[in-house]
Amino acid sequence: MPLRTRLQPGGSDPLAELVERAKLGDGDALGQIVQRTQQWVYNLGYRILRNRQEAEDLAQEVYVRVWRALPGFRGDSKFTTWLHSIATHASLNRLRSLRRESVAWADSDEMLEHLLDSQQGSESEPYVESQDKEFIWQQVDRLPRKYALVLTLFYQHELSYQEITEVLGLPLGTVKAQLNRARLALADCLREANAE
Amino acid sequence: MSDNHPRQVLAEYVASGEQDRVLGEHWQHVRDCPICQRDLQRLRRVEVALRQWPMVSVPAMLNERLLAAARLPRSLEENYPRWTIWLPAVTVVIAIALALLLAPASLHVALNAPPQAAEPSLSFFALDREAGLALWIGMCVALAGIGVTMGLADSRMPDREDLDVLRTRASRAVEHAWRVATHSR
Ligand SMILES: [Zn+2]
Repeated sequence: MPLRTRLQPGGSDPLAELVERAKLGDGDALGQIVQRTQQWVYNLGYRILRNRQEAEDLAQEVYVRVWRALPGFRGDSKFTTWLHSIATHASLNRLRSLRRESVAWADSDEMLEHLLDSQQGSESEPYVESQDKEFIWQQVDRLPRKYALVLTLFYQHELSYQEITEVLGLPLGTVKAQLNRARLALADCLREANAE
Repeated sequence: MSDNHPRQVLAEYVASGEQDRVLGEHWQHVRDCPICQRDLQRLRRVEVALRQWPMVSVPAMLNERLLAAARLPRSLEENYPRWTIWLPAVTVVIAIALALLLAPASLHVALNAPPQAAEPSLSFFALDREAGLALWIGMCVALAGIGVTMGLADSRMPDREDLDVLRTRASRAVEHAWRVATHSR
């Protein structure tokens, strides 16, 4: 699948030519950009909003924003990084407006500990070691959004650390620390599950 | 439990593909510590799972919907910027008109106050109540109009029915305010 190819940090932007054509009003280029990037936008929206319909609406909103802002896009960063940035901020804004959950950007391990506590004796599926992967994937959806977000950008969208710092506007150390905390939280989920 | 065990380093170590240099000074502890070894095993399972974590599949109709969204900007160029220009302009004109219509005499008096007046004449407090009220109403109308316009312009969903309703209501509210202002004299 072409979308699973890790974006090359610092490399040339594979969409640069299409973007230039799209800026000149080339409808075919727009269509190709949508075709090649929609899964990132939809997946990111889904990981943050955790709802398919919301993720669809969000994807539409993101592309409308992108087309409106495209004439001002100078290519200082890669188009995909810029797109991820718009999609991330739109998703988080949507999440806030839905008031399903407040997103604390400050490091908040209390949130994480609270989450892990609440999992004990909860209604989660009985753990079977052979279902390791599915179990871990499910647990990601139970992590605070900021951890699910960095995991999504790193593992699913295969962005580099540098690109993630640009998308989130966070220092490299913070991004790495969040990724590590997310990994440890998932390891703790395994420990809890094995202890049951 | 993490106080004595370098858990962050363990996570980094596994993610790095288990490069020993990542463990650094913790290498011996990790090798000998059963707790760290169990943590390592779990982190390896997490890493394997995350590296195979699939994205959610895109709904069948999403592509068409997004392409339709891609075609929107052209119609936006034609419809929306006009809104964003004329609505604030109209509200500012209404605001000025309200101020002038409701209190022309007071303004005139205030602007032409004799220079020997004890207080500087062109202050807000020098105007009488009617003029102050007029200015206040005018400012409110202008701010409300600009606010509504910015809200509409900022919206990225111009094909939504509720926005059309909002637009209609905004127009009616402006008309109503205009009628009230012109009949109140
Ligand atoms: Zn240890």
